[in-house]
Amino acid sequence: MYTTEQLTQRWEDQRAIKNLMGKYANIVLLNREEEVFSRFWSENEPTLAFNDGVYRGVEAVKGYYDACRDRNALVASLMQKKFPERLGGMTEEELYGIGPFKVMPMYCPIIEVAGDGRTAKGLWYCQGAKNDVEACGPRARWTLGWFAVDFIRGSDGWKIWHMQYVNDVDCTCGQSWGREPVSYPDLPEFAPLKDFVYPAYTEAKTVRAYYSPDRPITEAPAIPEPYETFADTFSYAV
Amino acid sequence: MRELTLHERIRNAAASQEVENVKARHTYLHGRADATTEWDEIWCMDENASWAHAFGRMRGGDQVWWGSVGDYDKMCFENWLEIRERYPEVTGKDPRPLMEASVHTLVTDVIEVAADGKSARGSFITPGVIHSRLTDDGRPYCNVLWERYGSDFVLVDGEWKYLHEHVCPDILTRMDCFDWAHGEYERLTDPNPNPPPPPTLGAPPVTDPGPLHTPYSVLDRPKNTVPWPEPYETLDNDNTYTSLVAKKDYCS
Amino acid sequence: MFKKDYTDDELIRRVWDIEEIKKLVYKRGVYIANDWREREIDELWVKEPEHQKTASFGKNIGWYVGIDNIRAWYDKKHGDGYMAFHPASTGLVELAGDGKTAKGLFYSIANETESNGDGTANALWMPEKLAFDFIKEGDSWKIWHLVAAVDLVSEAGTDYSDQDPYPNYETDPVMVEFGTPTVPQLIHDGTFNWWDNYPAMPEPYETWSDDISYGPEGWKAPKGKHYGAREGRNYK
Repeated sequence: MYTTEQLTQRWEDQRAIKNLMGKYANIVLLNREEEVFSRFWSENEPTLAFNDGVYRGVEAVKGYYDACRDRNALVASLMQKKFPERLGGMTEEELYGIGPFKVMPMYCPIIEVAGDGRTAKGLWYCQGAKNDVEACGPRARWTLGWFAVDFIRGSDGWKIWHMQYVNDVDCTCGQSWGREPVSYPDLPEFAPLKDFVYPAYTEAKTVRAYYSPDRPITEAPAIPEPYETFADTFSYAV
Repeated sequence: MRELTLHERIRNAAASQEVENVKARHTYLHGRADATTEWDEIWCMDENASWAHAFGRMRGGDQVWWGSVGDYDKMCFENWLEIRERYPEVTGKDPRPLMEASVHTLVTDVIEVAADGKSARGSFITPGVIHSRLTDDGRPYCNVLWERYGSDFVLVDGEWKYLHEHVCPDILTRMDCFDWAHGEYERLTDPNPNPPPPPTLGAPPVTDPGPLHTPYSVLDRPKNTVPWPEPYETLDNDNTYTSLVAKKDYCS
Repeated sequence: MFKKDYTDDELIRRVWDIEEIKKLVYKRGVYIANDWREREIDELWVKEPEHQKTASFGKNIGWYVGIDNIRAWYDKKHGDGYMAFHPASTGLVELAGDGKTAKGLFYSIANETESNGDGTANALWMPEKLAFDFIKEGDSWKIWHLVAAVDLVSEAGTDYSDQDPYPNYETDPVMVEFGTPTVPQLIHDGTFNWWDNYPAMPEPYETWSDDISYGPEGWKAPKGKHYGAREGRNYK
C-alpha cells in the first residue's frame, strides 16, 4: 500500500504524463514537429511505430519529425505558388505552417506508473481530423486509432520512450470507411508531393492492419496493467 | 518556483480534478443551452470575468451575462417561435434545449494548478457535435465543431469557478458528409465562388473586438491563440488567458 | 451543496478513487473495441450478488435489470468486419462523501461498423451520453448501473439532414440491437435534444440512495405532462 506521499507523487506523475501528451498533440497541430524530439523524447533507444513500420534509435525517430517539417515547408511553398495574390509576399518563415492542420485529440488515458517510479505506460484512443495537402490538393481525413506509449523519467521529467501511433481508419471526411473510397484526381500544382517520401523505416512491417470489411476483429494495443518495474511488464517497442 | 508542502500538493491534486468537473459541467449545461445555470452557478462573475470567441472578448460579469446568457436565450426563444409553427408539440417545453444540443467534448487537457492553490489553468481540444431535430426547415442537422479552449479557474469561498474562457473555433462543418478542406480549396479556385460560410454566434457587445482567432483554412497557418499553461506561482498577467483588471484574493 | 472536509490522506485517496473510476470507464472503451463483452461483464461490472441483482444497463427505450438479463442481451461475439469505438470524454465524476459509491457522466462521439457481407460495411456514428453508477467492491470499483442515451445515429458519409426529424426507435439499428429490455420505457427521447435532461449531471452527495440512481429506480419523467414526442401534433 502506498503512503500518502507516494500516492501524491504518483498522481503528479500521471498528471504530468497527461500534460505531456496534450502538449505533443498541440505541437503537431501547430506544425512545429521539428521541436517534438528535443521537447518530448528520450534519447535512450527510442522507437516510433506506425501502421506499416517502425523507426528505431535517435537518428531514425528524429529524422521522421525532421521530414514532417520538410513536408510542411514543401506544402507551404506549393500553396504560395498556387495563390500568389494571397501568399506571394510572404517570407519563407511567414509561410511555414500554411496548409496542414493535424488534430489528434487524446481520449481515454489509461496510465500506469511503475511502482519504482522510473517508467510509465499509457494508452489513448485518438479520434483525429487530419487536414493536409496531398497530390490531389487539400483533403480532410478522419483518423481513428491509438497512441500506445512507454515513458521514462529523465533528468528533466517524463519523456516518450516507445510510441505506437496506429490507426484503424484513415478515411476522407464525408465518405464511409465501410465503402470503396472515392479518390480525387491528382492536381499538377501539387505533383511534387507525390515525390515526397518520408525516411525509410528501420523496419517496414505491418504493425496494425487498417480496417476493411473483412478484417478480423483487431484488438487495441494492450492495456497497461499495474507493474513494479519495467522488466515486469510488456513493452510498446516494436 | 518554491517547493510545495505535501498538504499543498494534495490540495492541488484535488483542485485539478475539481476544475475538470467544472469544465465538464459547462459542457453539459451548454448542451442544454442552460446559460442561466451555467453563468449563475459555475462562474465567478466579477469584473475580471471574460468570455472570448473569434468575434472578440466580453469582459466583466455584466457584459458576459448580457452576451452569453441574454443573447443566447434570445436565439433560443426566436428559434422556438419559429419551430412552434411547424411542431406544435414544443408548446410548454423549455425553449432553450429545443434550439440544439451543442456538445463540446473535453479531451487533450493540459492542466496546471497555481502553487498558491488559488487558481488553475487548462487548455483543451474539444471535438464537438451540434445537433437538433425539430428545425424551422423541417430537416434535422448535426454539425461537427472542433475547437480549442483556454480556461482559467479561481477558488472563491472554497469552490472552484470559471473566470476566463477563450473559445477558438477551428473546424465547423456538417457531420461527415463533406470534406471541408477540399471544399474550401474548390471554393478558392472557383472563378465564381459562393461566399464563405458565416461566422458563428453573431456579434454580442464586446470590450476587446475581434477577430481573436481564425478558424482552420488551407491558406492560413494554425493559430496558437490559447497556448497550454505552464507551471506557475499565482494568477497574474503573465499567467492568464485574459489580462486582469482588478486585484482580487485569487490573483496577485 | 454537499461539502465535506477531509484529511490529507483521505483526500489523496479520494483523488485516486476518482482516477480509478475514470480508468474503469476508459478500459470499458477498449473492451468494446476488442469485442470483449463477456470479459466486460465479468471483469468490469459488479460481482457481489446483491449488486448484480440491481445492476442495470439502459438505452433510450429502457433498461435491462439484473446481471443475468444484461448478459443475455449483451454477451455476444461479433464477426469479421466489426469495429466499435465508444471513447468516453468530458468526465464528470462525483464520489460519495462516504466513499462507497460514485456517479459519473461522460460523452462519447461513438461509432460502430459492421460488415454487410458483400465487401462493404455499415459504418455508423452514434454520439451518446454515458451515465454510470459505480460501487466499490473490496478495493475495486465496479460498474453498477449504466445508461447509454444515444442522441442520433447516422451512417458515415451520408447527410444526417436527410433523416426524418423524429427518431424511430422501432427501426433505429442501435435500438433494434438493444432488443426488448426488462423495463421498457422511453427514458431519453432525442426528438427534443436534451430537453428531457436524462441522464442528468451527477451532483455531490454523502451516501447512496436509490432516488439518485441511473437505474430505473431513479428515473423521473421530465416536468410537464406533454412528454411524448407527438403530443400536441394533431392540433394542426
